[in-house]
Amino acid sequence: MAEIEDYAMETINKLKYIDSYLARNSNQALARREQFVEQVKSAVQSKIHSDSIDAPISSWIIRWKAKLYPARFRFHLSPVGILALIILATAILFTGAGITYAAAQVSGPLDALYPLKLAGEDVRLHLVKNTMYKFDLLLEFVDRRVDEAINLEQAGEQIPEVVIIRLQEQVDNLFQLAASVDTPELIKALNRLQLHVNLNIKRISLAAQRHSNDTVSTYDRLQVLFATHLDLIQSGLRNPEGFRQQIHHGDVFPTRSPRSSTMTPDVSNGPVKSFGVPQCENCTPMPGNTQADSTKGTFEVKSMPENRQSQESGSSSTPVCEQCEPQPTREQQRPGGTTRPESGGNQGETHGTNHP
Amino acid sequence: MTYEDELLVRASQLDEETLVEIYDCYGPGLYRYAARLLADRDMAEDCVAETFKRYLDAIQRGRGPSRHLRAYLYRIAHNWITDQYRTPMTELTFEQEWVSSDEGDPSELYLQELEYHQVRAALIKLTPQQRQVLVLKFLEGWSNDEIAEALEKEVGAVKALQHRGIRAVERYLKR
Repeated sequence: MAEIEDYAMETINKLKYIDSYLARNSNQALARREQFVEQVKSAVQSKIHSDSIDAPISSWIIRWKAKLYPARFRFHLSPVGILALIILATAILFTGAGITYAAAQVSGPLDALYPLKLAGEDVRLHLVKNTMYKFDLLLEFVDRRVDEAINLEQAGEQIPEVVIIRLQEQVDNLFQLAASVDTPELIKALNRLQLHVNLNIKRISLAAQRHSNDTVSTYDRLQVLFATHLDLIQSGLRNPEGFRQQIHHGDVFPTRSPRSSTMTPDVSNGPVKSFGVPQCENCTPMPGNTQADSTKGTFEVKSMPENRQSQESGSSSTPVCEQCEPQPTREQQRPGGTTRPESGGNQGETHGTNHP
Repeated sequence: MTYEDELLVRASQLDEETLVEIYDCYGPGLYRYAARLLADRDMAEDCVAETFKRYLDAIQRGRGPSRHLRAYLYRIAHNWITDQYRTPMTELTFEQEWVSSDEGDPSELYLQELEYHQVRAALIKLTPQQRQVLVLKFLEGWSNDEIAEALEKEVGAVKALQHRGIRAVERYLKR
């Protein structure tokens, strides 16, 4: 600024002429001062008044803000600065949330971020409106659950119940979605679901073969779960309308109601290795009696003639379910009663001769 | 903590004595500043009163300054004066009770007074910010940093205003 002051020194000197100013009237100055003092007193009084009586919320906020955030620590930001601050805070927020979400995606069921992963899945599902895309997403999530279960087993950890519950819920949702579309779409959806279920059964079988016996029960549990779903899928492929009725009535496993109750995981007991109820080897696909045909892409249960023969002879050594077990007649139920030969192929039908 | 900072802290708590102390400390300077620019005693007093009233209101709302109290008060005064300049001021009447630091020949004094009127007329034709920069810099003796703080501008912008202001005064005086 020195060069400006040099060339404009004359002008600046002229500016100094107005250095003389209007002398302040002392009386007027005193009166104005008194006026200000009155204003200050009034302000102090109003402050005391607002402290003692029910002050509006805004004044409480202002007062606490002044206490917690004294003026000397306050920064005055320009609008651009405030905007930059908002953008920065938003960026930090989203970056932090993004990093946490990404970390949650690779977390396992035993990790602290696992609930976030599940919540993220729920959010993704809620955001999707297209039914078939939602179906694809659910299939992906089901595969994830199986991956998690296998990984945990391979690591020697027990599978938390939340994984099984989640898997069951997601498969149920898949059925609900499949039942909500037209028949051609339903058939397509069930075919895809069948393919996924078969693949998962195969994966579980392979994992079970690689592992020691003590982990077999968990794999077994998963296989049973999928095999039951497979039954429903196959019945849906045969009779789509019946499938829809079953799903809409809320009975997802109508043909296996006694078993379905045992399939429901018991959360209170924590990780469970077995269902606690003997499983029917005739109709339940077990690791030992499953045969995954990769060429057909379907899951088949090996027929067990020796078991069926033993059932027919009434000397079954293995536990069988209500469906596989022949219904006893009333005479059989009566102590010392004799069984009369049944006719007409109705094995469960009883004869009127047993009436009193 | 500087004296001004201490005043600010106490004033933010609506301390009566502190507020009166601030008035006594900065009131005369503000009056001088306003009187130079407004050339009207009553208006200058109004400016001072309004400046301190606005400051008090700001404290009550919890929005008082956190630092640079002097710059803050001068900024309020400047805004008030600028508002006054927005009204037409073509016929300014200058009062005759000048306080001059020099006593001397009456003819000299007359010439000085004439020149004073010319300078003042030139100053009034400047933009409000140019005028404020020139007054604060050459009459109040503020540094560029202090002016920048009071005007909430960069120092470079203050220098530019100063340069253009002097050029403009020069042109008006040559007419």
